[in-house]
Amino acid sequence: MTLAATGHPPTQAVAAAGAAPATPGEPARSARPRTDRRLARIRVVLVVGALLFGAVGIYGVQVRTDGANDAKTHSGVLIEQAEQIYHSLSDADATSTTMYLHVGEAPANLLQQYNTDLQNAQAALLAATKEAGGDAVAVKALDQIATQLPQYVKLNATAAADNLIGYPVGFRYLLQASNLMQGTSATATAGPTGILPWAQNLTDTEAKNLSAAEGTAKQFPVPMLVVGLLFLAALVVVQVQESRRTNRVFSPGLLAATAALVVAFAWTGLDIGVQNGHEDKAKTRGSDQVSVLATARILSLQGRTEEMLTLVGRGTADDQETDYAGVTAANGTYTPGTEADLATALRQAYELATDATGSKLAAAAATDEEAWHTQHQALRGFDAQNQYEKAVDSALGQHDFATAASAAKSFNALQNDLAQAITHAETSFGAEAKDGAGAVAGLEIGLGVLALLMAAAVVRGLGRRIAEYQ
Amino acid sequence: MTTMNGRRHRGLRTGGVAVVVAAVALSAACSSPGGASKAVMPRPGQDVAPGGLPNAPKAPPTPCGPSATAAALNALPGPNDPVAPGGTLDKIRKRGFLIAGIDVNTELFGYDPQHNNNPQGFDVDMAKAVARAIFGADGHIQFRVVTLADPTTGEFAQLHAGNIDLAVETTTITCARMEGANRMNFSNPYYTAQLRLLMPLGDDGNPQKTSLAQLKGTGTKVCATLNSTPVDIIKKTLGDSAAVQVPNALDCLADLQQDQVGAIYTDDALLRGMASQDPHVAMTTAPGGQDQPYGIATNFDPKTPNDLTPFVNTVLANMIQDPGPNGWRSLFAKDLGSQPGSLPVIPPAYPLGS
Repeated sequence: MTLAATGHPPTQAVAAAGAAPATPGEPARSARPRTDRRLARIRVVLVVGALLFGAVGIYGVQVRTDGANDAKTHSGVLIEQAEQIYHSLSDADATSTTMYLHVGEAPANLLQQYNTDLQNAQAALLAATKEAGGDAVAVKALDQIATQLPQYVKLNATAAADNLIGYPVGFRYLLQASNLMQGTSATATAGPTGILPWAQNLTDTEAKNLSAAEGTAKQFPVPMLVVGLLFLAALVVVQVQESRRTNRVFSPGLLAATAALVVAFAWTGLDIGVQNGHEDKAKTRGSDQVSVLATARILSLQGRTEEMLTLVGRGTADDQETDYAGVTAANGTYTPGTEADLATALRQAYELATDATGSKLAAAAATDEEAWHTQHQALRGFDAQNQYEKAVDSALGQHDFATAASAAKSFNALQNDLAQAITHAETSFGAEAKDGAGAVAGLEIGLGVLALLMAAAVVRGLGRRIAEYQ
Repeated sequence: MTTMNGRRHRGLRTGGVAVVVAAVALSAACSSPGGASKAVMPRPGQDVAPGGLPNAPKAPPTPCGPSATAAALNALPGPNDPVAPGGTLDKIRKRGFLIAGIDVNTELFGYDPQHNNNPQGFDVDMAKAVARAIFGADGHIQFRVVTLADPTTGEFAQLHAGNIDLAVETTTITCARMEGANRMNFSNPYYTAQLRLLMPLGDDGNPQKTSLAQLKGTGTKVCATLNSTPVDIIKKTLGDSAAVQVPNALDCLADLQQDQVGAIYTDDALLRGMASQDPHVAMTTAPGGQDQPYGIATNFDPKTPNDLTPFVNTVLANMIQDPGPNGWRSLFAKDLGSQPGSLPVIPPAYPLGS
């Protein structure tokens, strides 16, 4: 009220303003009304507010982008490489035990597969080490893998050499190698041992980091919201006051600034919504599926290793079959084995599939798994009924089993379908993640431009009013 | 050996004093006029009573001593002679072949060198000899791989379920196995193992002379199977830190080859198999200890008397006498690569074992 009472009518102000430039120096300055200086102060505050809003907004968007980028680069790369290490080495272990079951020289294709697996693991180890940098947890896990891998290779080489001569001690080397590879998972009190559990450790740690980063990427930038609302409130207050003091309902400049602010809010909200949508989709469509399929693949390789070691052990490695089949304790508690876990993982993969191709591939993998399990049980039956050679032939898909249904055939079909399903899920993930990143592109520039527009509108709008007093 | 898979020797804590009494069995077998088909085995419990022999122990044998061994007074029937209807022999004859439980992971005793279900070794030859005695010809035998001493799938379970007729897999005859809950019948010993030390060859390329006791103070790590009697002996002789325990005795060889241990202490039967896989190691020449008689296990059924164990005892007695290629000595030399130093003995008392 007091402000309105001391205000001058616009006509007087225009007259005063017209006279002022003609009289330079002290008199004009001292004659300038207080409203003039008050408006200049408001103008500065509003301009600073507009620029601050722009800066905070750009910073917020950058945090989101950085979060996504951090996740994609550091943790993402490490997870990808750790999974590559895990898969390659699981496959190497299944392959080396399969080679051992062959009498004499190992078949060239298996030998090549084993070598390729080791090369892929080495390459992934190298890439991961490069990315790890100062990430102490990652460095420790990679160091463990790198130190133990040569030992694993050496044990397998000795096993193969002994096997070639027909020395049974080779099997103990093979078991030592496989135990080193499979290791034991981390518990509440002890860290992991062996090679694969360290790869798992790395994946788990980085997955946690990734999910934290994804959380950051999902938030609406709070500082931007706060500054924006304060700025909006200031604009509204100034406009309301000015419209009360003068008889003008609108100040076009301030109105334009307000409109720009609303546009900035809408744009940001829309973009973030779209991006989150893509990320949620990427998660359900891609990464969750990839992860459950990758788990299934690793379980299938572990099951294959167990199948082989049980056969090679001829009664001295029957605990491997227990690992495969699970155990029912005396009190009736059933602990699922690798096979049951694998079946569960494939069921999950089917449920997670979001398109026809994904469902089809997951269903095919589940069918293969069932067939493999049936063949595995038949194979165990042969072994128990003193038909060891028949069991071996089914496991290796040779002789009578070269074309007929066999454990080897079903297992290979499963590997094939799993590989296809994983590729499909990865493609879905990649597309959604890319769209998600694209959604934020342009927003930073937009916010910058809008902030400058707001500042310009404020300067221009209030400049006119100030000019009226000069 | 007592067991495999981490249970070798477990609880084998009392070594019986070895007394060579095989001669008793041999003379009894010999004295039967009908040769193999009419051989009669004396009941060791009767003939090897305390004081019955000049070198028999003064103290009475433990309850599970020789008297617990199922032995026979009945004659060995020929392939066409009648056998007790419903008995084990009758069942085997009607089936047309013997089913023998064996191990295929003990080099020289039971192993399958070509991975083609064509097992070989001293245990396998013992089983073949029993089949030959039942059917009068070769080829009437089927082998089944039986995990040693496995509580759910081991010899006892397979014998009890009737999946196998007998088990020959370097199983030590122990009181617990003859009288415990998982009771089995055992033949007289077909091999007497001793605990020996396996070490790398000496600098001169010959086996070393070292005994376990002589390793004291050298810091040498000695390997043995997890929770086995040798582990206890190593700990007692050299201190706890000297003992390295592994799941399977053959792991010891792998560890020795990788220089993680300096010696292996276990049954000489196993050490023979290890030495055959590595030309750079050998049993030391120090005398062994802790006799462990290996027997052929058959099913114990309180309702139906087992007529297979006495039959097997007679087959063993005849083989020990036989100087031919299928005789005990020839098979020993063929399978184990050296002439036997002594014949298998029926000890005055079997180890208590587990």
